[in-house]
Amino acid sequence: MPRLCEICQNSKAVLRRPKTAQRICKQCFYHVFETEVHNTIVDNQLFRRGDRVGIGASGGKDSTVLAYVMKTLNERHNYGLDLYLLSIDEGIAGYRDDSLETVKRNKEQYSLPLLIVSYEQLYGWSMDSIVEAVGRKNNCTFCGVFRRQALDRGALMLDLDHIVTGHNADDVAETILMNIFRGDLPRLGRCTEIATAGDGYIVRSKPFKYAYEKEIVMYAYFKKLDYFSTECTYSPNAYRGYAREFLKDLEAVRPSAILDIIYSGEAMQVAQDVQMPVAAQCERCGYISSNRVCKACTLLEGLERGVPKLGIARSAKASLEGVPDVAKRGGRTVERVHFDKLWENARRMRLERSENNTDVCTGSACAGVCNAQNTGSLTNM
Amino acid sequence: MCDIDAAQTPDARKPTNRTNKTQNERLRVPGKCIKCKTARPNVTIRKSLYCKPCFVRASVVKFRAALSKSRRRIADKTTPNTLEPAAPRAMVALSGGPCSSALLQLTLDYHNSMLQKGAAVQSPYLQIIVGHIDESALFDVPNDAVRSVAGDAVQFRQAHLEDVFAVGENSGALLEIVAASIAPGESSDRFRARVLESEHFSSSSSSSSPREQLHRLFDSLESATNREALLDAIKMFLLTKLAHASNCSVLLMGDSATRIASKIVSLTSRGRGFSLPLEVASECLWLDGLAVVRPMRDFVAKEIAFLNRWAGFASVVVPTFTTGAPAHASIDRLTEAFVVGLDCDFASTVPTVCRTVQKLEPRPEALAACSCLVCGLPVDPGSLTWRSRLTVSDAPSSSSAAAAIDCVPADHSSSDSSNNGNSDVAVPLLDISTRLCYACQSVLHFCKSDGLVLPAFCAERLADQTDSSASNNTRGHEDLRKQVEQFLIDSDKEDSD
Amino acid sequence: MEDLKLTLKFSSGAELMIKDEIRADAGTKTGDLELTRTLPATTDGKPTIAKDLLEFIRDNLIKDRQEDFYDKEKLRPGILVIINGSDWEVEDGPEYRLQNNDTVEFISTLHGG
Repeated sequence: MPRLCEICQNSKAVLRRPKTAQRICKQCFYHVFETEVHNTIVDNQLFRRGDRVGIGASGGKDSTVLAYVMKTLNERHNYGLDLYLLSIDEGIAGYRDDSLETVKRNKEQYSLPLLIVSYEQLYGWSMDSIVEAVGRKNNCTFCGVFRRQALDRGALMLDLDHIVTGHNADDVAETILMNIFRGDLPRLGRCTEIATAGDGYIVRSKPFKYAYEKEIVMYAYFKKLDYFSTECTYSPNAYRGYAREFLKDLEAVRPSAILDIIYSGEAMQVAQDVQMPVAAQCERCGYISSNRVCKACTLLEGLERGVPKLGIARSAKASLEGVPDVAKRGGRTVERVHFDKLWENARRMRLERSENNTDVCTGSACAGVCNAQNTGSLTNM
Repeated sequence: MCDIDAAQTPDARKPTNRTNKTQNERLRVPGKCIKCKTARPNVTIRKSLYCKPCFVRASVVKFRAALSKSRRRIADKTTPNTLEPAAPRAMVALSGGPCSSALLQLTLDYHNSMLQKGAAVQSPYLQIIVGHIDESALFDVPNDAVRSVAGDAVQFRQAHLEDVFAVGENSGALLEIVAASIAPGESSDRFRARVLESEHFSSSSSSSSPREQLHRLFDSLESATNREALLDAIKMFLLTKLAHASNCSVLLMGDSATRIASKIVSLTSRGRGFSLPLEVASECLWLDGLAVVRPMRDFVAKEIAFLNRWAGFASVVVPTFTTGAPAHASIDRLTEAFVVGLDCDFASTVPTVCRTVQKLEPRPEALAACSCLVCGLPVDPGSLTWRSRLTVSDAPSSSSAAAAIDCVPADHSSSDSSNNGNSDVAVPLLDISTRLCYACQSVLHFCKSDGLVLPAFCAERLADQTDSSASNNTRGHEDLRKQVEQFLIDSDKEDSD
Repeated sequence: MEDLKLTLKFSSGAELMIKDEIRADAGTKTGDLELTRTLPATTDGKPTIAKDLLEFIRDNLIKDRQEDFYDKEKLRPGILVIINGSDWEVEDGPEYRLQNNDTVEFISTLHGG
């Protein structure tokens, strides 16, 4: 006799749920998975009706499932969100080019508008050309700094209110552990936050904060979602590798460990000296920065002048003085669009939308004009 | 040629190269003890070399400094306006393992040396008493060995694990969990329990010795992780009780830096983040009238091993549920292996983790929260909802029915007549979900069988809480109080041990 | 060259890793364990060092999960080695060149044994 689903007691159980070890059927799995993401969104009041939300889409499993679930929930619970796919093309042959093909298919499958911004286009350097110039040691620093800014640039091009990323519970738990191992209290405090507006312009959040990686994979598998599964060809952070392996072991000992770690991380609530970084702007590109010149601009200058260590070396106040203007390797100098300009464009788009479309108010798009009717959060849906 | 050069006695070559680099105080003579600069070293602790006598001396100094610092911090908090607070009685928690044995000997050594100096110098403690929890009900431990570790010069008090089930003759009650599972259609975890009154309990057919009950409790827990968690809770309860009974207001624990670091990671992984700051604190004043102090926090396991050896401190091997088992036998076990390994690859992981996380303060809610029936530490009031929102287990159709958190489900009582001989004492079930902390819920959640009988202190805590919560008397509280009333242990009654 | 006669001691839980029959032979089923073993003075043409001893112990004395004791040139973290009364890290650690009549002790600092 086949085992029945422990939730509906009706259908045949087809999977053992990684998070709770319950044996459940496919339909109940979809239900609990989607409901938990919905609960996450509602309980944290992530969005407001009318928000323009970009889904950071890499073509990988997390963001593909995220796009699908966001679209599903938006329709089911009538969030009233305008969804977009936003992809970054780092320029990594054999990895990103293939995964972007997946995103392009997703665009059709989910009929969501897609914007791809590339490092090449924004900075004049692809990751491949950066690796050629700096080697494989610090390339991940470049990629991380550039991606953060690229997402903000893309978001402004689309005039988004919010970006959601596919970070899952495993990622969050891993980061909590890592910050404990390193004794990094400020980061430990920050890494459990579901939404951050801290370092950029647009709110970022992780609706999958509590979703197990294994369940995301299962969801994609049962729903037959189209995703791309290859690791980045440039190897990941070694120290994170320790935390990741340990987390996998913990999960094997006790499946709830991932969720329990996140619970602990939130419950510890590190008392932070609420030190809002001075909202200074980079004097070159206008990006938010605590220094005169932002990290991205420093890294770029290093690349362009042939001193790629600039902005990486610890001792770095590493000055540029006396560094000869070395012939550029691999990249080309591009005029980077100043953030003020991006803002201005975004505001204009907003205005145009509200003029063209007076009966459908898109919430924040009104920029405060119709605050009264339309700022209701999604709490009660 | 170069090879030969390099292989030649490096000691002889180095001094000439390095003498310029000296910093007056921290002068290092290569190949010599960092303290006396003359003796051949016998041990290296984090890149510093020590000879035997210097190492022992340095350890003693370090311990005394830590103990004095703790004492001053506690005095600042408890008696801020007293210049010379009276020296309290201190209980040293002794398992017999290397850390607690070292703790005991160092504490005694400090105490005695102060006594010898006469009245001019006050010993930090009025008296040192050893508190030991005898675990022979569960493990094969040679108890005499622990006694001899303590020596004859010090008062030795001990409690037994099975004591937590010793109710019967006088008064007292046990708490039985009747159902602890996610029932189909339930939208959140429920723990339904009933109070078993002592007379009823001892006269019923299912009566058994405390030892048997202890075994049954541990047998029905699903994993070594849970068994270890429950054992910790029981031991901590017994130790605090023993301390109170001995009029000690200080409880010294032997947690080393290595142990604290693994504990931090393992408590985090077991969902104990809410109470973690209290559980690893250098000084914890959370327990009523008792300061828990961890003066070994600056010693890594290696230091303790060498200190015990060279100072001649005896210790025994204390077995646990996972002794000799592979690393993935439990979360505690896995974590210890991982943290110790990480410390090998990234030196100073242990001290870093210790130092930073010990800075964490418990959240304000934690200090006001009620204590968990099982572990006695604060219950995060939001945890029940948190979990139920993120581990949904109701069927698609019934999702609209939001469960009221405080309801006392009385309609399930029909099914619990199984091991209850006397129908007169049949009581409706209590919902104790809000009185269990997040982590202890997990411990009890997967118990193998329903009808799990918890130690007597769980019922006592329940009684205390319902007694003192008159201020926010909801209907649930009132019901609870009425039921528990008759089993309340007179809180004024002396804990005689 | 002569063989090396070594005294090996296991305590503080390290003895629990040793095969039961070896402990029974030594007459100490519980508690500290002391053994005498003889190793060749050279291993693979080179003087025998502590690393060779670890491999010998792993292959001959350790109960099960031998790789837990010594694997990939790494002694299990949490086990201390004491050679003639001193921390082996003061000497050359695994590279220490063993001498006849050396006493090598293994102490576990791990709680879980």
